[in-house]
Amino acid sequence: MEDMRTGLRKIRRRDFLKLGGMVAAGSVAAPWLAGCGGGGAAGGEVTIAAVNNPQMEDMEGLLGDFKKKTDITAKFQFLPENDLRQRVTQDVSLNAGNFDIVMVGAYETPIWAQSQWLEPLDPFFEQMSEKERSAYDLEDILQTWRTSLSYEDQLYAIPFYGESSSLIYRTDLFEKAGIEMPERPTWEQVTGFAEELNGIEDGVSGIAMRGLPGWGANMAAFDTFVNTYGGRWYNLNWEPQVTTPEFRNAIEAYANLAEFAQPGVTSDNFPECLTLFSSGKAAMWYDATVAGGLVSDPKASEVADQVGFAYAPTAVTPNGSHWLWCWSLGIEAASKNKEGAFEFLKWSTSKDYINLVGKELSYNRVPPGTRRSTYEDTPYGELPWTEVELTSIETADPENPTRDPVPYTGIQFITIPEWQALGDAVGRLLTSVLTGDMTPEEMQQRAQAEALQVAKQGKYLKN
Amino acid sequence: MSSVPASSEKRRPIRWSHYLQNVLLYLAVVIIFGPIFWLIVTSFKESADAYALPPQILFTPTLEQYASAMDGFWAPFLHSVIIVGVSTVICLLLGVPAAFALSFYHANNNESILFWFITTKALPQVAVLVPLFVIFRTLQLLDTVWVLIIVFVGMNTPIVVWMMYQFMKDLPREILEAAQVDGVKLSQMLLQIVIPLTRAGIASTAMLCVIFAWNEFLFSVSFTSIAWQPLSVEVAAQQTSRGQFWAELSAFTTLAIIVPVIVGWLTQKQLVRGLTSGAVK
Amino acid sequence: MVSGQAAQGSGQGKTQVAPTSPGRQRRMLLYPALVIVAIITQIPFVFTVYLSFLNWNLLRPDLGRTFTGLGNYVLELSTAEFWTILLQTLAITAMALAMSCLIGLGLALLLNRDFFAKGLIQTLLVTPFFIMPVVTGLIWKNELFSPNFGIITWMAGLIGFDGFNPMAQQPLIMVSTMVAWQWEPLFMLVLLAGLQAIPEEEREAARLDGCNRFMVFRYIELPHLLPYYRMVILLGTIFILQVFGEIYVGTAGGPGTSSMNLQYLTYQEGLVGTQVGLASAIGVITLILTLIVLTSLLRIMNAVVKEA
Repeated sequence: MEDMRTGLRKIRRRDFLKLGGMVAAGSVAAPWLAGCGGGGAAGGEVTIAAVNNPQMEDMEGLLGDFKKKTDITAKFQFLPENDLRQRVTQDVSLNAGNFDIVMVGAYETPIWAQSQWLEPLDPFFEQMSEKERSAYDLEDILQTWRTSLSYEDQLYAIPFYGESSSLIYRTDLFEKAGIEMPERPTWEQVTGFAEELNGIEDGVSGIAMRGLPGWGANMAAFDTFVNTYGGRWYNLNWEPQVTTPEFRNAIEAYANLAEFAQPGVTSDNFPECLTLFSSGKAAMWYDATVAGGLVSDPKASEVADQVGFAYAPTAVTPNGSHWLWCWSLGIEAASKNKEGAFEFLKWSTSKDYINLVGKELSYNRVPPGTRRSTYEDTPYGELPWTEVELTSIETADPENPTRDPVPYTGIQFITIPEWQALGDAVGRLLTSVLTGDMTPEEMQQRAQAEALQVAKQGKYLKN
Repeated sequence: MSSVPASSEKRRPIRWSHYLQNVLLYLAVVIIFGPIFWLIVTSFKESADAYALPPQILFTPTLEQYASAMDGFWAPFLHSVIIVGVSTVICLLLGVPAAFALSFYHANNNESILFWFITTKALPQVAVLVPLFVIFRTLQLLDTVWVLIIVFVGMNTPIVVWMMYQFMKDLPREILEAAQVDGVKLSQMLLQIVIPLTRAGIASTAMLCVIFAWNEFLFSVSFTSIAWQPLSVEVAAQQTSRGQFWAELSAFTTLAIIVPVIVGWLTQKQLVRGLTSGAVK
Repeated sequence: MVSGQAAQGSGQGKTQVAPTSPGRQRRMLLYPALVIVAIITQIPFVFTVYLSFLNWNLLRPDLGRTFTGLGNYVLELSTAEFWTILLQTLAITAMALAMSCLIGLGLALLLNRDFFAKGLIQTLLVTPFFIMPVVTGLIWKNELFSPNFGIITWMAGLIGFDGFNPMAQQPLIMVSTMVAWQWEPLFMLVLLAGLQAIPEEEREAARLDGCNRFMVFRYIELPHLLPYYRMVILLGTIFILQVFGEIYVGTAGGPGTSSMNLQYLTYQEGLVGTQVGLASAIGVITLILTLIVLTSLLRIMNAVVKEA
């Protein structure tokens, strides 16, 4: 009853404002321009804000199939990751509803769900017919994702792309040096290899790694160091744990390894490392599992047939040694075409879509890491890097990311809204350690202060 | 060009310094235009060759990057042309008369008004982002053609006033005052005396407005989405996580600077030596 | 002095019957711009000042918006990092302005002659100004100065500079240089327009009086250029104080915070940290800082212009 009334009031105000806006616009506008404006999607259109990764770009090329099946026109806005996040955050948090579907990461989904900015998907699945449901086969989507994209037992987004982290290396260079990469190496071993292989050929670095400051850049890699060296950000009372010896070990291990990384490591992120490795300038590369497919593509890589795949290295604990990330599609709560949006979600995350990509483009371009059937029933599963990929994703546990218990979830991030700022700040400190402008101790002190401020500001720390 | 019938004895020592200055200038061109030259060269390479070192000097140029860049080019390009064009015209219509008013008529507060105009630009864009977003959402203007026109008018009109004020100050007062005494209508004075005499200034000011609006990113990405996304956002969207995007980004950027380059070229034609002085004295 | 009387008239607001009295003309010409700019810029500004007194995290609707008074200002101003970043902001601005002023003047003088392919060269020299700041950052970081793929680092390696990585080693200087590269064309154009507004006869007269090239510059051209310098320096200051794109993609503010400026800090707090209140406070602080810098610059330059 009350809901209805406020709803009514909202509508009235909105319509009134729309009218006002139109009058204002019309009085100044040349009529040919006025027609072009008009916000909001029509019945047969859905709009999607997406990060411009290769899988999404492939999707844009295949939209004809969606149009044919549903008669809905889908329109994309592509942006680089940081800009997308900022744009979409504004849109949902200020309730603008410019998009029907937003591409959200594993990090944002539960946070946004909690704020009710995303539409719960369970009701849509319940409305599906039996036949539709079995064709879509929600159970086929990896359990990891169904858990981490849920909030209070409701699913809020469907993964389109999933990854963990792993180590890839150059088999030819390892052979030349007469060393062998174990399937599950330790960071100590890897640092040794990096030292040995650094400069083995002219211009070849021991390892390529992320060093650009940012919570989604160097911190993604560094956080797995923290976890596997037994460190954690907070204890169960949300007291920061950055000054512990374990955390120190992680900083030092990362900094030691960086000695043998590519020159200018502090300005490099995934794309730069990809370019390095595929042009033969690095002997190893620790990054997302998706890298395996990209460096094995002979069209884009000069080392395509010399790539070996190993699991993410570990130190004192396997917990949190490899990260977990997905790009998933969710429906904005303010969307005006939720039915159409769900049709799009269904189409783009179905088994059929994966086969469509496989047949139209090629099976090594299918969106990886989301469905078990992709690995078991399609030719993608036979590709050399997919075993490490699937196992890593399935064994990554964001509920237990560290050796000691923590009050948060998430492996290479903490699932709180304040993490972005904290991660960025600590990421910058970390680059100072690499350039020698700061000692690990100083970094620990500064990062501890940042972490404490977050715990207080976010009202997590009780005292 | 014409007005200096210098004697040959006097010319001679100037000759070699003339060449020296030319050499300096060409050197400056190499340094300053170098990065852009490299950008354009890169845009004709295959993706994988773009980062090869030593750089490939001799290579078979490919239009592959342009072909794929053209895909998403026209719609945002058109948006940008409309938004930037309309907003620049409005800025000039508002700003040029205002600058004339401040420079020609005496009033105690002219200097402070002029200064106020420029201070409206002192608040960082990022800080006004949320307020503007909320305002435009309430007015239902997000992702319409108006939103960026409004923003750019607010952004660039102060610049027009600020720049044109100086050019107007250089106008010969005697002529204007004589015209005023003669009872020449205001509109005639503006159209027939003021604007022709400050053409160079107007041209460079217009160029400035075009470039600021054309390249503006933060407001553009925040206030538009699919319907009215301008080119600057599309340029940024060329950086993908695939890596090796330089060649494609270079091609897209080269396409994106064509309009500013044309505007710039038209501007520099207005900057012909002695335009102001020649017309006056 | 017709306009002198007009000033009195409009200043006192006396009613003037003449339909096109100068005071009224002035208002007619000035007010549309004044009113429209005021509406578009001052409403959001007031809103921003209001927000700067709030504690508001966009991503924490559960905490709501609470009034903290000057809390955000105190929080920012009390950190050492803030003052470092403030100094860096000023350093970037000063370095970039100095470079733009010198190079712009040099090029304007070189261009203010007749020579072969003048139009082409002038256009080429202006092009850096047309490039989006974000793209500038990408070109400089990846294609020119990347230690692995950059053509300039490669050339530096050829002549024996190994480990040349200026983006990490001297980020502040690199950011300033990038900014100067982008802004120097504006200085060049404005100064060139200024030079061209000088009647050729004045130069000719000076030469006949026995002035050499340097003296012509010092006594004829420079005094005339000063007001143009004033215009372009103030304009440049405002923009360069708020440089963003070059830092965003070029260095991401790092290593550490060594190439951050206030604008980037605002971005970090406001768009990454979604602390709207805090970001608004930094924005207002930046505004105040900008006003201080502008007024002092204006005062200095007015003094210089008067002296000349």
